[in-house]
Amino acid sequence: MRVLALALAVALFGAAAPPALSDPRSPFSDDAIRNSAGIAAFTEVPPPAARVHTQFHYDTVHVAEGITTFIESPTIAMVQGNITLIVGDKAALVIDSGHYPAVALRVIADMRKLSDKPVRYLAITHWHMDHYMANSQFADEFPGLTIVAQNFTAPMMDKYGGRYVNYGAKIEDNLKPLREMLASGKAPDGTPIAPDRRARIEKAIAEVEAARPEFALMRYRGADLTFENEIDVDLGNRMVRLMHLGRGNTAGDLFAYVPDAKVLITGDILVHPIPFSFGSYLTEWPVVLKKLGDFDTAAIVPGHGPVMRDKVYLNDVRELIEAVFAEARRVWKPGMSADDVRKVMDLSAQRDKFCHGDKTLEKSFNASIETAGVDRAVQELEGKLKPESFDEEE
Amino acid sequence: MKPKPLLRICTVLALTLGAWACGGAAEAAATPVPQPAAAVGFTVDKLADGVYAAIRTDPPGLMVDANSLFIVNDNDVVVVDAPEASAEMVQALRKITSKPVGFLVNTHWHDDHVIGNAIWRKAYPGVRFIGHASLREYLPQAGASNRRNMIEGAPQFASQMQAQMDKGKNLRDEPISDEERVSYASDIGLVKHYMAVVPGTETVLPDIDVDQGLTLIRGSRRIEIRHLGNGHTKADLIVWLPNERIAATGDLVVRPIPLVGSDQSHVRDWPGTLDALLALSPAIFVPGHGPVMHDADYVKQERDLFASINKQVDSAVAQGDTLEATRKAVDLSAFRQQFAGASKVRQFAFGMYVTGPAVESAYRDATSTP
Repeated sequence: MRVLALALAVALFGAAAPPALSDPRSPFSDDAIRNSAGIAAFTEVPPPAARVHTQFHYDTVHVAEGITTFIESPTIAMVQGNITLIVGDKAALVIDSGHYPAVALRVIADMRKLSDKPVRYLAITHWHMDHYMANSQFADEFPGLTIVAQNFTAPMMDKYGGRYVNYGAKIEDNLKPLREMLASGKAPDGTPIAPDRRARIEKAIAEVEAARPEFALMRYRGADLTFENEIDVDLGNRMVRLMHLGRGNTAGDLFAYVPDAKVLITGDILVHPIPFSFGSYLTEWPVVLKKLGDFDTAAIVPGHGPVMRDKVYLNDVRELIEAVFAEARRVWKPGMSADDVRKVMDLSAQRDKFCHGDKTLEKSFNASIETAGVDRAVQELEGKLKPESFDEEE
Repeated sequence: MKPKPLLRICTVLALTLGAWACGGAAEAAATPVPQPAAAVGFTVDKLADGVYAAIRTDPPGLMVDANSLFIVNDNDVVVVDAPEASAEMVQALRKITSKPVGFLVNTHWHDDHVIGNAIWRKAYPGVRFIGHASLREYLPQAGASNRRNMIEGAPQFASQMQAQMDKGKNLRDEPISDEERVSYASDIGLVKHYMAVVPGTETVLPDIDVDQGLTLIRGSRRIEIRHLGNGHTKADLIVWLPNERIAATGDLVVRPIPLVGSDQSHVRDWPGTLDALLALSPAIFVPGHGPVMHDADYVKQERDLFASINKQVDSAVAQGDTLEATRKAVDLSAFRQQFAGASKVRQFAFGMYVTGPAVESAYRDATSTP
């Protein structure tokens, strides 16, 4: 399975000028198809061929009484974070609005079938754009809606979400190099394009085309209410704790916990099947996961991927991140670049555990963990952790 | 006649409502003519674009109602505190704007700051309430109990006051002064209002509990709700407008006489909490009770008062003093002069609401094992 997670790549690179084709992490380069963290990071194990969903399909999953998660289909290319509805006796709260306005409108219609309680709060787990670009649709549909984010997250949303709405206008510019490759039958370096590669490019173009209407609907809407560590929201005989427990996936990760149902919603500090570590904080992430692991949980809803009924994956991710940093620290010496570290480090045990030989998952692992994660590990070891950003190649 | 029964009521009032002053020592009554009840009410003063303070105009007395603040934003209004006179305040706000109230912040758990929640919700069904997390436990338990005591005691208190006025006597059975007469009349009016509003009014808990605080973003307006530390209660929140440099302090700051509850206040922490408030460098302070202040002098005076109490109590405790011995050892006469001046009503209030409870609070914290 080859899936180009354009949207995630877009999320990664923002609405800034797309990286050059020679950039191995460009969403439009063939290498990006190989490397992009978003490809399989947000897919389940490769689906059976018979199971074909349309793009933007999602599954509706009953998590607990009054708690429902809308999960992107394993087969879709365009990533969208999970959207979760929590209903109380007098009001409802939603975690993340997702990436796509039209999808969100369908989700909202489904929510109305599940509950007649007004959605009064929308809490955003972090600032990556696949989690809040449909805020406006929720605000339109639920007047008086309050959008909640952690203090770090709110201005990052303003910066990146605020300009991502213009991305649709740049789509044709971004597709141009791919169209030229198809027309000429040659890559920029002059090598002929093999049939399988041509198919991938065609699929990428098709998916971008399919997303065009979604981009056209995007209007930015930021946070109305921010907090640092914790607030508790009363939905009527149901409290929801919104909390920040330290840096992990981002410096503003928000988690939701519903004590009466023992449901924990984590955002992208947990992404299945391959963790997402771009711009993350490798030494602090496991500390936060340890705190999350201390919660009494009947269900854990990750930022992407299926609802989990135990803590196995949470603990696996904690051990993975600890192991990656430990291995980087073991081999790193002052002056060594991240590439130098990658050449000598050994992540094979971790790779096997998460990918169990699946080539697609391995590509995701290599992009997200071995590349992005080790970049961050080395930055930490150098004492030069870069600010989170989608501005430029980091 | 000894004033003890009334002082017990005063204590109840102080617990549940806060009170500025209790009957002072006797002075020869300058005029024997009973004065009409002082007007019960508040003024609405514009402090900045879209920011209005509703400030009580009652004279110092045993009964008080709280100030409020209206923050009018692009699409909604944020209100600070829900006093007993919330119905009147709703009317006042509607004269200013037709925008709905989106949020109301309760600066702490006392009824004169929360009882109006139900009134605001009726007027603005979409309003959501923000309070310190401890309100969820306090209001249905200790808060409800205090309210019951108040509802039982207040009418009796008012009729006793009226009887004293009819006799031309103050609460100590001494000839009543003009200052006391005005104060008592105001108290009686406030009790009537209290009894008209409070019994049967539903307790409305916060929709959003905060521990440290949160920020409301309204266009370019920032409304920061912060727990700077313990002081008047452990539930104290301030509302801070960083762009306008306006701080609504709740009862962390009460003028002219600070308001301390022996079993609810934290004199030990109070100076640090006021230092955190001062560190924000507000240009305008809106106290829980009392007039708007355009400089920090009074807040510093209050901080210094509590710091001095802590220091003196620490010395007494270090010598092994009992609470009673500590009370005798602590000398606040200079502060009393600063806060109360020559006013007998304020001097009495200072003794009742500062010296007594504050020393007890500081002593408790100094002698309790953490």
